[in-house]
Amino acid sequence: MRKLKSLLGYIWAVAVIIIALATFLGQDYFGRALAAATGITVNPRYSGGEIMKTVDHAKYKTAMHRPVFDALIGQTKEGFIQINWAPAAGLPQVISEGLDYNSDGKEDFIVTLNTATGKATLASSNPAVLGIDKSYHLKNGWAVRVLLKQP
Amino acid sequence: MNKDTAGIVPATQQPGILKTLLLCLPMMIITVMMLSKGKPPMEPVRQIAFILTFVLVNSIFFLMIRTGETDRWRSILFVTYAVCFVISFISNLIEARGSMAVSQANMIEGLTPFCHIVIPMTIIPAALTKTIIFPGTIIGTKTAIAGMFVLWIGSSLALGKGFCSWVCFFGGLDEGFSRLFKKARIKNVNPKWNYLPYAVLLLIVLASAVTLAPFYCEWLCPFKTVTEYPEITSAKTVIQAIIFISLFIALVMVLPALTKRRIQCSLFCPMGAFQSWTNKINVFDVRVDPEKCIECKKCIQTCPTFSINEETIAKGKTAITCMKCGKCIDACKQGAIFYHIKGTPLEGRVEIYRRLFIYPAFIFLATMSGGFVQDAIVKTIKLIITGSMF
Repeated sequence: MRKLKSLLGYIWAVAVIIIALATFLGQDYFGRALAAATGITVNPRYSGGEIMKTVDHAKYKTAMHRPVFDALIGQTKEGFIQINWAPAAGLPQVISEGLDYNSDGKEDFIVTLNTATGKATLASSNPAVLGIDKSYHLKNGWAVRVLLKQP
Repeated sequence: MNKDTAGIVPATQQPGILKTLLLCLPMMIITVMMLSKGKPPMEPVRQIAFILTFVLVNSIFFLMIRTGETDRWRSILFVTYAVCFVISFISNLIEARGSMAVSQANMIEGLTPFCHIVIPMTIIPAALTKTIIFPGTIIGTKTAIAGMFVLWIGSSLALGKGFCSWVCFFGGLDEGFSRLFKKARIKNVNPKWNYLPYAVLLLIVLASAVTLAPFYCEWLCPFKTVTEYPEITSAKTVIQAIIFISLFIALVMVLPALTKRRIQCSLFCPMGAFQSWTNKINVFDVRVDPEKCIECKKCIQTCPTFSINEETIAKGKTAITCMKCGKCIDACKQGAIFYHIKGTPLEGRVEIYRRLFIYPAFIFLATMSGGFVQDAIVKTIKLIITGSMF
């Protein structure tokens, strides 16, 4: 038994050298495999969540993300929705766009963004839309987060 | 004490030059492969950096094998690694963003590099929401979340808490400051402080789960001072910056210098506390032969992480917090402390055990440090020649 334990110890110790090499040589492969196996994503509080709808304006596109109310368990009372405009080269100086975030066929808010100053304003026609959280100057465009409450 | 008996390999038993070179040959091949990433550099500046890094790394490994001392040589590369990491990281941030500050736009675009200290904070939210509470990307970049998880899993399986002395890119800063003075100005640190990192770990894990944000990164990480910090746009970000700088000065600079211990790593770092448990699933440990021990307590005085005391010596081992740096092994003139492979007999073959440990440990240290050391050399040469790092 002592000899077997000793042999296993040595085998494990040598295997560690292989683990060390495999960690670096296979980092990309194992990383992709880990991501695929777990299906894990970046929390929508950072990424903005999945894109729900895209509107093509020829020179630029509007991407509306899903409303984010995600909590550790269940949902929060207040959340946000992120709207992105890209590419930067195609954006007008002032973007003004009406959006229907809950897909009920009615426009919920009109967001206006000055791409020169980053100033964003909101005209809400839905009581669940609370106001502008922030505008963000991205590498290739702009994003705005609009604060929402649960309907 | 005769100088020949220093360390665990007496001079009479040290390998000759030829045997040492033979033992170093696999590491030379591995480091050529890892440092060049399969493509030898073409640009002259990068070629110089590659050669210098290769020579540095392999000289250190040669000395480890030849002298039988581990920590003495490891610490040189470990501190160099941390300094070069800071130079490389900051210069790359400034080149890419024009500043060390990370803006909220950078965060929502997932442009924040993922760091291993975030790992404990992500586990509960990942289990319950299948998401990672960090503004990075899952795959596709060098510092993507999945890749860093792979690195952490691999190094934890290979080295356990040895991660903190052979892999972590921050540890060398703490270690560097702990070696500034010859003697400790503060000698007695209450052992109760050893529980603090576990309290910090518990706090940040719970706070991160509740707020769905990496609490330690937002409020407590001293290393934000030398990497990236939130863009200062409000009173909140000013307070955060003050906390980061204060913790860096106190825990990474002043206290390590005064105590000659790795204070941030052993008394504050939640990742270190979390990593302690990986020592349980790791094949290597550090053992003490109480029969050889003459109770000189040099190991207790030199351990940078308070992981060895009379109680653990009596049990013939180090505490769970042991980072396997090898400082106590180098300090023990009796050869009573040694690296050990679990399951194998305690007597004899200690140099074989040590070599089997330092090969994988050094692969991690050389590969992790290699990229940053090369990049820092390139940036420094460019700065000298052109006046700009970029």
